[in-house]
Formats: sequence, C-alpha cells, structure tokens
Amino acid sequence: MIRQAEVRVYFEAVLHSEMGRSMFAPDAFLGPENLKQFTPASGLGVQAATILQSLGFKVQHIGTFSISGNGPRGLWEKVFGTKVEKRSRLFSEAHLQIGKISYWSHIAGAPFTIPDTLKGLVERAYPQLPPTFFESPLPPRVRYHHLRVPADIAMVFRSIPVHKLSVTGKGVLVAMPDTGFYKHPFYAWHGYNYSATLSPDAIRVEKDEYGHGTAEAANIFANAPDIDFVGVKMGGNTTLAFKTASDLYPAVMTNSWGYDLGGATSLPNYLKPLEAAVIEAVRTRGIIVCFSAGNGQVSFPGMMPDVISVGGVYAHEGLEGNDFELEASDYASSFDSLIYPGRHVPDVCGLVGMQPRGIYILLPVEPGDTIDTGLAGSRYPKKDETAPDDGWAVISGTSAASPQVAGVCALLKQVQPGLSPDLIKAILRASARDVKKGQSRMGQPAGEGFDGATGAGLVDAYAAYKLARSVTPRNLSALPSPR
Amino acid sequence: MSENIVSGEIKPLPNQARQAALALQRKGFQILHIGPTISVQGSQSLWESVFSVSFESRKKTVLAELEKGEVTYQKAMTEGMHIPAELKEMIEEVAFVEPSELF
Repeated sequence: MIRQAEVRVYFEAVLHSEMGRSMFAPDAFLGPENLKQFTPASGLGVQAATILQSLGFKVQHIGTFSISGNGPRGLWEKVFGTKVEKRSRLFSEAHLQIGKISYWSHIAGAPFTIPDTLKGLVERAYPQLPPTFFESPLPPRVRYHHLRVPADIAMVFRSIPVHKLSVTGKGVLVAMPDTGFYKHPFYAWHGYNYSATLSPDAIRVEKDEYGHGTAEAANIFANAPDIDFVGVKMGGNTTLAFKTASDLYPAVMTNSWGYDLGGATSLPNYLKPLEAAVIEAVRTRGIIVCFSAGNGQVSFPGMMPDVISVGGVYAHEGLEGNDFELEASDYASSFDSLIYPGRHVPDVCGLVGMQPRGIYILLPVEPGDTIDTGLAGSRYPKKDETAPDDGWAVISGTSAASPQVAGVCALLKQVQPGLSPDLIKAILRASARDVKKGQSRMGQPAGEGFDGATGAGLVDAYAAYKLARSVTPRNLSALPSPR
Repeated sequence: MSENIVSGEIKPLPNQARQAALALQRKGFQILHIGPTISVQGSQSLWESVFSVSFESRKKTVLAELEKGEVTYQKAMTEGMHIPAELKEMIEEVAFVEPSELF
C-alpha cells in the first residue's frame, strides 16, 4: 500500500476576494469573463501564507486564488477546530496491483472555524483528496524529433491518401505473436479493433510484462486503422505462438522478434520446427508473413526467402525535394544470409530510429513495464524523457518497422484479396522509395537503386496501392494463349 | 519448489503425427499443438527420463540494452539424447525451443 500522504493533511486555502465575491456562493459560477471578481487583493496571498507558516504549516505554493500547503493532522485539527478521518482509495482502477493510497479527509458535519489570525485573509480551507490515475490516451510531449502514432507514421508512409479512398484495411485480419497486449486506452479512444488471445502455454492475456506487443501493435493501426487485429501472447515456446496465430488464417502476420544466427551457415535443429511453420503459413495457407530484419542481429526467420523482411529507414524532420530527408537507419540490420543462398535482408524498410537506442516513435505501453521503466528519464538519446509509469515510451527498432509494413500489406489485401505473398512482396519492392544515403548497423551503405542497407527502400503505401489495384492475379493454367 | 517446464517441438515421421502425439501424451507430455511439428511441454525430469537429455540453466538477453531484458531458461544438452525404441517408429527428430529476441 502506498503511504506517502498518510501522516499529513494536504490542503488548499482559498483567499478572500477583493470585491467581496465568494466563489462558494450558490449563485457563483467561474468563467474567464468573471474571474476578476474572485481575485484577492495584491499581497493578500503572501500575508496569509506567512501566517500559515508561522502556525506550523508548510506552504508549497501561493497561487492567485488559493494557497497550497500541508501540515500534521494534529495541527490541522487544532488550528481549524475540526476533525479529519483516515481514508484510502485505489491508486488506479486499472492497476489494482499498485494498491491503495491513504489520505486524511474532513468528517462530514464536523465543525470548522477559520482562526482569528486568518480571518479576512482565508475564506475557506479544504483537505485535498488524491487523484485517481489513468494512463492517458494522449502521449506526453518530448522535445526532440520523434514520430507519433497514428498520424506521423501514416503521413511518412503516404498511407493517408489511400485511407481517403476508403482503403483502410477493413475486413482484413492481421495477427501478431508477441509479449502481450495490454488494453491501453490509446486503442479504445482510436476505435481500433484490438483483440488478443493466448498461445496455449501463455497466461494472463492482457498483461504485457515487457510492453513490446502493446507498443508495436500501434504501428499496424497507423497504416491500416480499420483492420481486425488479434495479438497472440507468447508463452515459453515462440514456435507455438506463431502456429497459434497461423491457425487463425489471418491475411497478414507480423513478427517483431527472431533469433540471432550470426556466423551460422546452417539452420540449427531447434529452429527447424519454426521454419516449417513459417513455410506452411506462407506457402500452404497464403498468409503474408512480415518479419523484422533485426537491430544488429542476423535474424531468423527474418532471413527466410518466404517472408517479407523489414529493415529500417530514418526520416528526418525536414524535407529533401518532394520527400522527407531519408537515411538508412544505423540501428537496423542488413546482411546476406549464409543459410539461404542469394537471400539479402531486408526486402523493404519501415521507419526506425538511429543509434544508440533507436528512440524515435512514441508508442503506448503497459504503465511501469520493462520498456516504460527501462527507457524513462533524461536524457535523449540514451533515455526517452518520459515517466517510468506513464504508459508511453519512445522506441522503434525493426520491431516497429515490421508492423508498419504489415499495415500496408493489409491495405493491399483489402484492394485485392487474391494477392499472393510473393506478389505483395514484389509490389512493395517495386513501389518503394529509394533511400540513397546512410548505412545499416552492419555498415552496408545505402545508394541509388536496390542497396545493401535498405533493400528497395522505404515502403510507399500510395504507390503500392496504385500498383496493386491494377495487378491481375492469374492462374497459369487458365491463361489465354498468346497472340 | 516447482519443477522447470520445458517446451519442445517434435517432428513426426510422415503420417505418424497423431500416433506420435498419443504416445507422447501417454508418457506424460502435454500436447499443445499438432501441425508440421508437435508442440509439447513437460517437466525437466520427464524429458530427462524419456529422451536421456540433460539441461543447463542459461541466461539470454531478449530485449537489448534494458534492465530486466534478460530471461533464464533451460538449455537442452542433446549429446546423449536418444529417442526410445517405442517412439522410434513415429518420431524423426526432437528440437528444444529457446527464447526469441525482441527486435
């Protein structure tokens, strides 16, 4: 139980107004136009505060209309000839585990008298109740260049023009195996269809101990706000979580995790079941499967030829020509697979921050989880300058990029439900924006055309849409003979 | 103290998935999913007795650069592992799952 307010009475002492009007009068209403009527005479606040202090109270703030202060319970009761009682309430309705906060409250009907020394100065004084805390659906403000969801991601991805054509991912199911899916008010306030289920070896579906799944899911909705989303909370077996998601036959799956196989020339046996599950999802079930390329890791399954491997591009604040100034993220992976010959990672890119920590996109997390606390504090670029329990963190990595691109895949599936995974990948690559400068975490440079650091470049949702709407998937056996 | 639960992925021989799952279940494993591979979990001692495998406690960073971004898991030591005779006609391979990294 939280006990910070237990021993002292926290109060607001309201000052007499110069015009004699009381804000407590039954006919009084406070508005910008009549606020002056309730304003005390100049110097009254300091005078009252001095007396309160001399009586033994701690004055914390002298405001225009009232003085904020606190003092021991006994002092409060003696000075004002009153009685208070101890009460407690939940710190947060949404977080019962945090416990209760205790405070002193006025007893209804108990006498209360302003002492002679304060008469003419203080009109009334009230113990203050602690607030109930809610994590806000609105993110906090931070002072450095960052992107916000959904607007900034949608704008840089050029998905807003697609949304204006009523292509928003409606009717498309997107699944995401990850660490958990906390019901952050951000999702409800945006009206997103955000649901979650458990992998068979996982527990507590709405608890996200890391905050990773809760955060990264917001990236999908930025590009595809009307999708049907299902998060699959992982237990100890990641392969099982992937299979559980695949069994739902979503149109699109996005995966912001993997295994680092740096130096390996063949796939370790323990990963073969996961490889089989990915192949089954893409080749047998026709699911578009996006995987993060990694943040310095040589990632698997991100390197599988069957998946859309998503790397990172950093969009600066300023424009360069008719686009944002784009640069390969030095936080994101790029490499040539030693396991799958000819396979280069990434195929395309989403938006990722730069080293040292990729702090870039303001995303909702479960308050007080590993990410919220781990990144909180000052100062950027090592910390994200948000509070450790505010339910927001500024993060990125290719964990953010994969769901962003998955969102664009969902738009394309709404336009043309028959598009195959290979065709979607081809469309994304053909329509991506070339990124010509910067280098990846592995040091591969970006340059003209398809390059090592960014593959085909940053995904362009509108260009991809224009290509997808004109593509006609054909069955080879049904093709008319050429003339 | 509760015993460690270990997850595994079992590759069945062609057309033997359901028989393999049943046999594993009878030995005490919990069957979680049957697909291209069978997802199972069981206590560490069950794995040790059925497949002659041993385990070592290992740590792995799953969320880079963050405090509490590390997990402890049981790494399978498979050098002496063998598939028992009664399962050999149904099971081709046994793989042990390790924690993935979050990117």
